[in-house]
Amino acid sequence: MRKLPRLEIDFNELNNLYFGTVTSRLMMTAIKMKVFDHLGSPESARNVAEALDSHYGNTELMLDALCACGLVEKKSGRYSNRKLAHAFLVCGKPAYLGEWLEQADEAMRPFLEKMEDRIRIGPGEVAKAEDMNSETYCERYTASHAASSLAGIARQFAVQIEKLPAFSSCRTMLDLGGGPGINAMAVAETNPNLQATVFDRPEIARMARCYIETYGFADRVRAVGGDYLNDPLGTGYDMIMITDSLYYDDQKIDRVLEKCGACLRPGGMLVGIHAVLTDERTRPVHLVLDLLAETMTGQAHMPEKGFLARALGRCGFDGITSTMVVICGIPMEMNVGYAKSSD
Amino acid sequence: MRPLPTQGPSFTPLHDMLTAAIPARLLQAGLALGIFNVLGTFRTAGEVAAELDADASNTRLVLDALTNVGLIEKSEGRYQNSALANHYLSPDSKLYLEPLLAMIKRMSIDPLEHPEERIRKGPLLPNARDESGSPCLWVESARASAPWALGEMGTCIARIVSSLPGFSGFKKMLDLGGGHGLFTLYIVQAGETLEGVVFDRAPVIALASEFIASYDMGDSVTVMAGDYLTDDIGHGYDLVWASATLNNAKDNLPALFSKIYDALEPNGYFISLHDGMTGEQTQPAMILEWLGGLLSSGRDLRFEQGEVAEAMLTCGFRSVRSRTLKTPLGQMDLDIARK
Repeated sequence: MRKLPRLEIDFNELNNLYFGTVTSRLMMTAIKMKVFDHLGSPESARNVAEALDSHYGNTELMLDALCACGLVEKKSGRYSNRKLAHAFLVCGKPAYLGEWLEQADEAMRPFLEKMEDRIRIGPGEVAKAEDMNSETYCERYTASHAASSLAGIARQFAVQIEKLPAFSSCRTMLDLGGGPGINAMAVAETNPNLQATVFDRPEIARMARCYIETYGFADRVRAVGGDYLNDPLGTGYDMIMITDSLYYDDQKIDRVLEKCGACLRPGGMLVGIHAVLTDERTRPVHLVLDLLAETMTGQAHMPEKGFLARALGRCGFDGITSTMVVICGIPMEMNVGYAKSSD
Repeated sequence: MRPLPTQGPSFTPLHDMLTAAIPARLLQAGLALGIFNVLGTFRTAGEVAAELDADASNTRLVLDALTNVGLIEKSEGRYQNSALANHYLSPDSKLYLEPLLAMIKRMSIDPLEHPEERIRKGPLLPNARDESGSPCLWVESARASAPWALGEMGTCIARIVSSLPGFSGFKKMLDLGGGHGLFTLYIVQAGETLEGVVFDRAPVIALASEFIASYDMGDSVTVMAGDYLTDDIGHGYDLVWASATLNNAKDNLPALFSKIYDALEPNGYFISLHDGMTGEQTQPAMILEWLGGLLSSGRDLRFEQGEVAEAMLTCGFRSVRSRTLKTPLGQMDLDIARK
């Protein structure tokens, strides 16, 4: 008789990891079907199925599964949104994230389907629909970017920037690659004397103007369209803010920072906040996994910890500091540098 | 003017839920490309790419990502399998999980690729009486689920059974719908004079014979072929063990349980390990694993917690003790009934 194996390790972790696909598909299906719009107050599965014009039995199964994922709760046979779904998955709410998630899902899925090919043959040709620099993609991306900024990211950036001693005396700020301008408005809200310029691609700047109008910042925040690698950015700024934008190779980053140095007033401050790779490029999860589609198709360059501090040094900035901050659960590196004083 | 929203709850869990599909896909790609086959020892990304005939820079990205997920370790630019991957993802391992993961994918994950249509229109074949697939599928599923019993689960079940009052005097046990029969092998090895009978349909029972032979246990464990719903299951048992099989008898529990009662010796035990839903059918997380199949088939064979125990009592068992076990495939209930 041979002894049967006795093991200390079990594969529960693998099983959980494998079922990530189910929670992902389930949540995205419910968003697409607008299930959460019908669960503002406790509803029976039958009423939800009627409202969605869907099959009663399978609607009930979906609702039960959404409870298992923690998005919905069930009491005495009636279902309602939990806090998370209530805040972010009901259409029309200010922080509605359904479109942001749908867009991230759409960007991720073609890549996930063909992952083995990407590993075997490399980035290859990027299909038009997957090109993240196309104009259509940019517009959708900006709307999603606005949603996630409104859902908390902008305010958390602003909290970090407000802590910088030089910030309270700043009167003018350039938000480079500032997207829909939500971050700039959140920062301006913490400093009533600040005038901000949001610079981004023309189609994005057009969208930013709408957001700025909507939230009543038109007298203090303006949006300028252009290509920040090639077009003039203005001069004499007290500070420049760059968040989540400099995902380029060193040569391009240096070109941008040299331009920034020239358009800050002497002694002016540059603040950059970016997710960065650590632990031999295997962490954090939000960069290594979430950007895999972009990096494997050759559309993004993931920066390593210290990339911006080194670049600021190469481009002649003074007083360079680096700190790690956590923005909506994502560890990010915040770098500050000062343009050389005129003396 | 609209005020900017103030801080509410963090939306991070939603983002994490969406991107949970990425690690799952990485695991599949790792298996499909044979990445875990070549990482028994530390290798560079370049060496792995050359061996797999893959793109060097994307191989490095995927190895970094698999490290992030915990399936690989990285040190000084070199990669090797984590303990978890060595145990379960390397084809040389007795516990190689690829067949089980492939089956789970086909049955539970693929049907959820586009679930909207099923939710809107209902199951594919409403009310169709599904006899749980073909004989080939029974064999495949029994073989694929062997690593589930090997190792921690088998040890855990043998520990629970061998601590039952009277176990040392047990002479004969039946493994009902036992498939690979591995739980019987673990329990018999824990006993002194115990003999086991693995009962399952004819095509499946050949697999149990394979495992019995490979552990040199032909003297103490035999097999019996049949359909336990309709055929004789023998008699004189001190223990009838049923693991994840009673769902097939969901509509016939009283008849089956009476048959088991009659097959047991006085004071004998009937033990079943099965799923058990709680929280108005919203827990445990295992319900997610049934979802894909259920949306398509419309045939709900899941148990509510307590349903099996209740039927055991109704059929004359004098006591039932129930406990919930954490298994590698999720939370399950163990009901121990005494004649």
